[in-house]
Amino acid sequence: MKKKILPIIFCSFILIFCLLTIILPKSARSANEKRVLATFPEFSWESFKTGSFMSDFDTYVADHFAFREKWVGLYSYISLYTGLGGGSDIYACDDNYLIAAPKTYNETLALGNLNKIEAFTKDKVIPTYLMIVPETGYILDDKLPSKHKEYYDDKLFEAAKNIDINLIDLRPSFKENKKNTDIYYRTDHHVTSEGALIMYNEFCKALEFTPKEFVLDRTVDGFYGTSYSKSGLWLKKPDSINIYKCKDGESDFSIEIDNKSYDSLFFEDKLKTEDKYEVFINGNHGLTVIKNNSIKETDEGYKRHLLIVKDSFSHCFTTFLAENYEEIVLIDLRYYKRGATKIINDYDITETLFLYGAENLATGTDFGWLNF
Amino acid sequence: MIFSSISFLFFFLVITIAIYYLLPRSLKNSWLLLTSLFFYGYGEPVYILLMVFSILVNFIIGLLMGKYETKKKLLLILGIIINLALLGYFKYVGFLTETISLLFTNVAIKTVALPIGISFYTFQIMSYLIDLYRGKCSSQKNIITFGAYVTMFPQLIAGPIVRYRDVELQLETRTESWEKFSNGVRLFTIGLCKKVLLANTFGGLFDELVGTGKDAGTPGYFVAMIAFSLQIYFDFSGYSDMARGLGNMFGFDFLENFNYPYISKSISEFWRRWHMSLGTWFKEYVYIPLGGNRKGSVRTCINLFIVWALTGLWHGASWNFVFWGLYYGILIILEKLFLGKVIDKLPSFFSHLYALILVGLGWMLFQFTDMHELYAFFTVLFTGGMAISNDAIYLIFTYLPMLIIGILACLPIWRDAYNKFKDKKWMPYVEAVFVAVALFVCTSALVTSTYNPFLYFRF
Repeated sequence: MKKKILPIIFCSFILIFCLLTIILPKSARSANEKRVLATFPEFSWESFKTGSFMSDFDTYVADHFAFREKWVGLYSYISLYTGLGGGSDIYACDDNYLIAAPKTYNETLALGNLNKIEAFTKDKVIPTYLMIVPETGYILDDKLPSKHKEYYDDKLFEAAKNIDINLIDLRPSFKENKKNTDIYYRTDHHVTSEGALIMYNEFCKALEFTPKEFVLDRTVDGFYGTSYSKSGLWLKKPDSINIYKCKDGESDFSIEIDNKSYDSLFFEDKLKTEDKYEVFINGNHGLTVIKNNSIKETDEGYKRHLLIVKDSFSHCFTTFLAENYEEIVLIDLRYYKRGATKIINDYDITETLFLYGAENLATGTDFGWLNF
Repeated sequence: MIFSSISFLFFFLVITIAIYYLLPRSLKNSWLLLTSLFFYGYGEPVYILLMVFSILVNFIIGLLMGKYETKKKLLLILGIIINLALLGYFKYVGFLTETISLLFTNVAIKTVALPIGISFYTFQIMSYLIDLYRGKCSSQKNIITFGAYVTMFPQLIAGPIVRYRDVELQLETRTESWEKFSNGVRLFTIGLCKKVLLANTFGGLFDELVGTGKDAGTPGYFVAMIAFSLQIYFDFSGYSDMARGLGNMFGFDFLENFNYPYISKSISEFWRRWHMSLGTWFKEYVYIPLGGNRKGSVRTCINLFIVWALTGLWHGASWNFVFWGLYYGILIILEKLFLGKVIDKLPSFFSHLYALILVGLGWMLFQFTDMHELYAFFTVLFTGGMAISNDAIYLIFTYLPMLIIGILACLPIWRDAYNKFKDKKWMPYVEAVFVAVALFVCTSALVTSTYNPFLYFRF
């Protein structure tokens, strides 16, 4: 028996996982990777001759290998305990935070993006604001591992100060509040609803609005975000999403997304899907128009129309701000390629806000569509 | 196909082993030939034709050499010309046309997709023809046996270069056994760990360190050089281990290809321990026929130059490989002339350092096919200053545990410990646990490398 032990282990290992991979039911989608998994390649003489059948087969097997995500988790933990950190570019931090490592700062690209924004404001008479959401790792630096790559938020804010725009600097209020508030999600790169409330208050301060009061309506558990998916550290606990409603009663909204109308800013069915963050204004879309039908002549927001050029950091924030404005138009330059100038005329925009996460502002490549 | 892939391990190998052991002896070689051709054609099916052509032509030349004693030399020359012409066309035509364009006149630069393993199997075939000519083996009368030798998938794409005469008998009359299979599992598992857990990790470190740019400074780039030295050793020797292990599983014994090269105290010693089957091949089929060291020191130097230029060129069709080969040629000549005696007298710490640093610098010559990149790397390495960027420090600290593991894994202490305890009663259980854990860990690394989050919604 002793001399057979290694061959038996080896052969049964490869045989068992071969059979399991064949037998086990296949899923069509990977929730953590947010992508459709490969389907079994169709065999043809052509696909064999060019070798594409074989490479597609490799992809298929890799996508459907038995217990695939368990293996990813195993390796992520091995990497974590051999010092290599969790999965790709995610730091496993104190207090169960999973924080994205900074990308390499490309100054040319970042300054180029800022200049494009500045160029857009040049011929506009309405005021323009810029709000940059600092990266989690920059604000929660005390949670990071002692050795980490440097976050470049300060460089970006300094550059943003040099362009002709009203910069709303969130750094002081975020730093001040981080002790008593969870500003960021632990498993996701976005700010929490509490973080968005701070943004809301800062925005109101800058525009001399009277901020409304919001109360916690309910808490939804089981939110696993992007950092979790990337990290492979499957044993981490999920976040909760807090949903706030206006203390004076929610206004009557109509929200139009890609020519479809809805009557709530919160999309309940999204709470049952893999990306629960989409509960806020239904996630990413090119053009979203929110009308507050409860605004009266006596309200501050009467006839005030705000254009937000944004990424997803704006979504939760908008659910607060919509209480103040008669109308908010959001455009996402990754999907909306028709330029922003026309929007200003079409919707009688009275002010513009650029709202981006620091990394997206520094590394985005879609700002050219702004002045299209 | 590569060994460190899910399709190979969990599909190809399962089917190949299972049927191999079910078939009667008379069909085992046919099965090996068939699966090897499939393995070879997996990436580029059209090259199966090239392979079949090579087998046929060389098989016939071998037959004729056995039959017509007087025409042996002519047939050998013909065979070598055909094999080198194929190798030359598929591997070097792009390099050649590019060099001609650069130096003389514009010619169309021709690029041909390189058939995998062509450098390895061409050398194997030539060992057969030359040994046949020298009467060191007899001509193979069975085309399936010959085809199985040429295509044998374990060593087809990355060696070791198995001489025909070393496996001549095994091809006909090998026996499989539990002991051999066990040994195969040991070697294969070790090789898989080297490739998947170590080589890939150090490759990542090298790329990332070089990627941080010149701010990494001399210390940062020095660590990058170490990382690459570790990567290439674990990659190549891991592949050789897997090849030998697979050979064992099918009843073959291939010679060792790496013998702890990084414990060398001189460059000459390094090359006796690194890719030994290639060194042996060049020595036996090029260096000695040229006269070796028997025709005076000037001829010896010329011979060494030729051998090392060819060794460099064998590694890749680009000038940096030629320079890399000549770099070793010069170092070895210097060691033969006087440097060797000097090093012998040094305390061993310094001779180790001497060998490792020169080998490391050599690897940079090997790694950068683009001369500008090479120049940029050496500029930082030698004149970058001792300041080191935060990002580089971060990387080095992150990889520090793996670097320590990697450096320890280059030492023969593990083999010595194993040999000391291998007859103990508990050893089989320790090995069993090691193999099982290693397979799980390697599989997790393999699967993770295909985990590909489509995080569009990063925004």
